[in-house]
Amino acid sequence: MLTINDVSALRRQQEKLQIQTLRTILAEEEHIRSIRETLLGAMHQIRQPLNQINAAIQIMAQRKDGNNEALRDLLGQVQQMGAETLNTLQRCVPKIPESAVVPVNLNQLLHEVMMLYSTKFLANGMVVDWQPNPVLPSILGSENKLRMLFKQLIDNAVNAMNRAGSSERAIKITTAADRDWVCVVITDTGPGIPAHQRNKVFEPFFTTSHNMSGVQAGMGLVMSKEIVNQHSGMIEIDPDYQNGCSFKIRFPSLKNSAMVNIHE
Amino acid sequence: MSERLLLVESELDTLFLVSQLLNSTHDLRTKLKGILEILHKRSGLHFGMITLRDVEDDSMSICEIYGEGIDRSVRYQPGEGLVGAILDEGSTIVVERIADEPRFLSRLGVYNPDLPFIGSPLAVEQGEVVGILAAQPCSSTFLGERARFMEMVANLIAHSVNMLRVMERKQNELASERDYLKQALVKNYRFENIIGHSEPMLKVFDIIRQVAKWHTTVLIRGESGTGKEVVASSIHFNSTCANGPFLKLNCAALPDTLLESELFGHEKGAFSGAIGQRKGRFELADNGTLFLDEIGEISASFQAKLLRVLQEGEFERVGGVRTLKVNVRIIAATNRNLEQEVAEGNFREDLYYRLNVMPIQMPPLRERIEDIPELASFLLNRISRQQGGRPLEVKESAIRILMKHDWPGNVRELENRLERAAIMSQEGIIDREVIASTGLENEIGISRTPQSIKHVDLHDENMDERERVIAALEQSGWVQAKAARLLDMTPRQIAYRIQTLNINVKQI
Repeated sequence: MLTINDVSALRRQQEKLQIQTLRTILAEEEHIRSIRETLLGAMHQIRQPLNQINAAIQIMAQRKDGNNEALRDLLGQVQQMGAETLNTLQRCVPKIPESAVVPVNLNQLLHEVMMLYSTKFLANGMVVDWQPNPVLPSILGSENKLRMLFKQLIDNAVNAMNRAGSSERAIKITTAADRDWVCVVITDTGPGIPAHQRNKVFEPFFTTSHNMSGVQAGMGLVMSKEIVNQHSGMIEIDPDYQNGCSFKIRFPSLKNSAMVNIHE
Repeated sequence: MSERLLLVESELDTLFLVSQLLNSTHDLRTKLKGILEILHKRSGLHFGMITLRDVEDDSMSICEIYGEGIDRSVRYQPGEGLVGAILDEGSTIVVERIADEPRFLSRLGVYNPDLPFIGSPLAVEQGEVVGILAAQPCSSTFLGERARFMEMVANLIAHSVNMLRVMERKQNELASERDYLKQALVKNYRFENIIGHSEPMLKVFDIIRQVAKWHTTVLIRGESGTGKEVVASSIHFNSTCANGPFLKLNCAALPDTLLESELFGHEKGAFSGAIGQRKGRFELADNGTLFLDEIGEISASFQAKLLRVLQEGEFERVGGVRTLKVNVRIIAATNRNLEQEVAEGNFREDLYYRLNVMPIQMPPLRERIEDIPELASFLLNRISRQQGGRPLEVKESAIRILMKHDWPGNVRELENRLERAAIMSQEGIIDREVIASTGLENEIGISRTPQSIKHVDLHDENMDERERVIAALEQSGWVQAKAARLLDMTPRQIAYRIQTLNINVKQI
């Protein structure tokens, strides 16, 4: 006797659940990261004038300037309060959960990320052109961080195309192996980034859209850059690409990358 | 008969124009574009197209085509369609009516199916076909003449097209080589390659991680040999301008006038010896980072110019009138007590504030003795690679002595010390004896008490040359570039004197 049970429904259910979990984890981590980057960015900006006040105090002390006692005291107080503020903020900076460094196949990971956002692509009427290189060496890295990286870049592309109201909405994602490196290119058909802003976009608080608000604004590419740096990779905007924006990301492939330690 | 003559006549005219264009100074692509335009407008060969053969897989891509709104990304696989057939046969193919030709695929959709089509191979030496030239004649009369004419043009441009192909291939190779080297650099200057887990170093890491994200000016302070340059490099290679250039300049190594033309560049004839115009480092570092070491050594007039660049991003070349604007991140470094220099009036106060936006204090090695074991094994690894992968090992006993030393020369001294020890040990095992044999133990007793270097007047006329050079070296902590400046010499001059006067350079 032969009995056949159809388990495909169950399988689909399991898959759906898994994707849901991944999505939740990513959303949480994204939230933490954007708070973190915003706080660190604000601290950096407070630190600059404080450093200059400190420099002024040093000079006054060196000159044994007796005439400006009151001013010196005031500067001293400002300096101290600033330092305390920085300490308070430092305590608020959330830690990012540590994740294991393992060999990662970027084709598989990118496919996963695209699955996660398939509904978003559909809702926005985007065409995804996925061209993986069939033979791709692995890289050493943290899966969660890399997922976050590609999510940020895809979000960035989707937002750019929505903002510009582009009639042709396509995201092209390709992977390639180049000598000892693994390359990922993410290209959109949005308005592109003008030459003088190509370095600026990776700076904290920089955003091309003025009506976007919230914690997230201007932190997506900062996160991306940080994650790429942690993996000894490089990220750049193709200066020759005309019909939109093309991000090129490269990582050393596993066979010759030294141990990667990721510190936050 | 007269019609045929007229055609040949006009073809001759066109040929003349084509040859003129080929001899012009335009770049290759513009020339080819121009030729297709001439064919279209003057001799009724419409929508001319030049395709190029790919070196790797023999497929062909469109190099140039006349006309607007044509999909230029079409590729022809070997043997595919009429274009593929021309490449295979290596001779001109004439089709009297496109609609009758089964091989014609009409992938571009610009050619009229009721008219003829001519395609000629572009052949270079040894019959190698690098691509094809094809076009559609405006009428089907005198096809023989027209085909002959196409062949002539194809012969004329074959060489140019080949040049274009070779050049583009070379350019691609260079670009990929450049990217490869850049990536290797990035890998070398990861933050993790700065060693240390001591309290003061962790503070340094926190700052450089943050500062790398911004385009702010950075001032790195610390004794010589503490790794100021390493920090500057890793800030650059982790910053938003990591893809841009990274230039270094030691301000103490050049006399003032040279420093100015080195940094700002000069115009032709700005001073005797300025034969041509030259770009300065500020211009070369545009959209990148400029690292100015020994910033405390620069003169007052130079400080004023530097301040202007920092504030406005503007400067002029020496002898130039045009104001240039650049976008450069400045990382400065010094081991001087700048506060004291400001109080004494040697360093401009406004420049001091400007530089102090983001100071980074590099701790001396004696304040982070606990990092020595890790540093030693990291450095030894590097030395081992330099010595051809020879296995090297450092013993606990050696580390213990190393941790007792005062390290006036900081990490650089540690590296030199280890390198010498590595050379002296036969088996590559560095223990207490090997370290002792480099003379370290003798020094430990002395260096604990700070040695005060007596100030010697370097311009004393009674002093002989050898004494003078040694005194200058002592005052500059055996850094030759700095000693050279004290004596108003160039580094080459002092290196020559050290050699001829047989001075035993103290290794720090």
